[in-house]
Amino acid sequence: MSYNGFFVDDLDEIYATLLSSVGDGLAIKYRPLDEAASLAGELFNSHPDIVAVDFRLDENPEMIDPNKAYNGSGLAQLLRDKAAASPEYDFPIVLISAEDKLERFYRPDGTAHDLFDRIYKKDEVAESPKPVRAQLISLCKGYEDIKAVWRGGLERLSVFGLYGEELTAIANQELRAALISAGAPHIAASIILKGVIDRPGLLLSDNELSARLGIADLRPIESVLVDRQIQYQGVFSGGWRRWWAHRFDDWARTVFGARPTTMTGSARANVLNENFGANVKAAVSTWNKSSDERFAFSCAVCERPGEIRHSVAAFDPYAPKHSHRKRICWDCVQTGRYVQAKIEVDDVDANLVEDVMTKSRDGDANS
Amino acid sequence: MQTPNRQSVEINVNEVTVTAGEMAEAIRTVANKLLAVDIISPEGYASLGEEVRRLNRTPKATSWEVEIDRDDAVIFSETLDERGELIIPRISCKGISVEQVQHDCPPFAALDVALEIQDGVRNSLSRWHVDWANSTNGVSQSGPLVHLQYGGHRPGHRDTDHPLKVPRWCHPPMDILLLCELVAANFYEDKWEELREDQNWCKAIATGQKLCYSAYLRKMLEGLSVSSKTLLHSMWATEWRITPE
Repeated sequence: MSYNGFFVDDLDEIYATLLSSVGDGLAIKYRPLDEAASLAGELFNSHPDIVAVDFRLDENPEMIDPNKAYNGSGLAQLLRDKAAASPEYDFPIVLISAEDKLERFYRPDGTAHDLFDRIYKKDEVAESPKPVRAQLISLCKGYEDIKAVWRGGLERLSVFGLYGEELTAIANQELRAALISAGAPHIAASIILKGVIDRPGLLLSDNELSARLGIADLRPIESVLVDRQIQYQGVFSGGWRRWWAHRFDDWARTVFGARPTTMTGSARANVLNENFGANVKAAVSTWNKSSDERFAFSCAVCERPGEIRHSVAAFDPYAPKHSHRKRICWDCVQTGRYVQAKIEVDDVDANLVEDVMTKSRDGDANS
Repeated sequence: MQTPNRQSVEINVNEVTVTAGEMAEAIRTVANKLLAVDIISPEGYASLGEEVRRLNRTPKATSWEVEIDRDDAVIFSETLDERGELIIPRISCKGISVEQVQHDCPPFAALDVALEIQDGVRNSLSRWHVDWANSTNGVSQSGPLVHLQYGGHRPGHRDTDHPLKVPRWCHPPMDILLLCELVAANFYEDKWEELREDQNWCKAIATGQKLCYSAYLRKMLEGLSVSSKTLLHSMWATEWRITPE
């Protein structure tokens, strides 16, 4: 399957080429600026599979009358309005921007970023375009999958690729009701991307899975997990590798004979090595360098395995009920890394931050 | 009787005072942590929030009350019992009246907290309450000053009351915080295994432990040092109650 799309910018035509991967099935054409309504009409009527826009579209006065200048969000809003009226032609819209401030995830500014399926920095696209292309193709394919079951109501849940009794894993009311009531495919895509793919809960990323296994690196055990069909194969899986949490939990209980997070990293690594000859290494606490900690999550800031007793809750006002709350390891708190990452500590643990800032790490290992 | 060859350790249990503000902060933390792991229902969270707001009106007070009506109980999330049947734990509190004026006795003027387990159609399966022995006209109710009792009365449903009022088990006092942890540990053990690792959860629960257990533990230690009187006797309401001056 080959997908076609547009890149709209007033300056950097080169990104259309960088985003394209004709051999892999994605052709992105550069589209210069025009008056907003006519450009939106033209783009929509050509039924693209994807549109990428720069956030700042007002930096080149030769391109458009400065009095009629607009941002990428303005164009995206016009396109989303058209898609809501004709959902069969809905498509993903991504932002390609040089502006670092757009990175904020936990505190989106609430103005326009919900309009975009994904946000990429231009540096990221220029330095390693391959994973970005894979994600763009996955977005095109995902929208296709969603549109194929759009009229089905409950059938929309089938995009996750679970059937029979396993459906209970995803049929929670919050997700089910949101998907059924979604007014257009891009709304459903946003619910899935931001509520399921991006957040640990129903699905787990590689880092989350490593933390739950209490190991430093997933690679030595990867083939075992794939053989047990723990890998997620549903919508958007081509761009974002994820693992089913419920299948992992069932498998882990059999392997460890207990919930893995009740065991230390060393103990879990030993079990994996004995059972599978996997040669995995136990994770190391970011706080006290010990492997005898009960690693349970991937830090929201550094993504390394963290233990609950040396962490605080991250402020995440948009977390759906089916997701796990994100946490920040004490190392990222004490080094101030969480401030740089613009991730806030939840008020419920704010009183701990002051203690952590002056806490000694010596002699704090689990006995 | 042989004395075990073990070095005796002197244990000191400090006298503590918990202000209304400190209790509010601890309840707020527990409510948020329970919500974060999806153990508590939105209604249950709101009930605890209401107590936090009430306590925070007089944050420095050392005498304060907690009251959670049975109709506005702290309702937990639906869960399954060993048979796979739906059950819902609920905590209510007819009245906790804290008065920290002396430290020879648990710091309560009144204490009545209940844990009720309901089935999927809201029938009561079991009800337990931690109670303070009532005193009427200076005459104490029979039983330990602080006791655990099965059953209890549901206003307007005398016919469904458990026929026996006894035994009243000698039991340390428990407040809302300690009951919340008891529910988490017994009914949502997987989630509790995470909560108990959380430093702020432990700190909040410690507030309830200090309030409820300090004077009780001192009494037990005192009782263990004498052999002329049983512990149960010394903790019986007629023996232990401090008569107001």
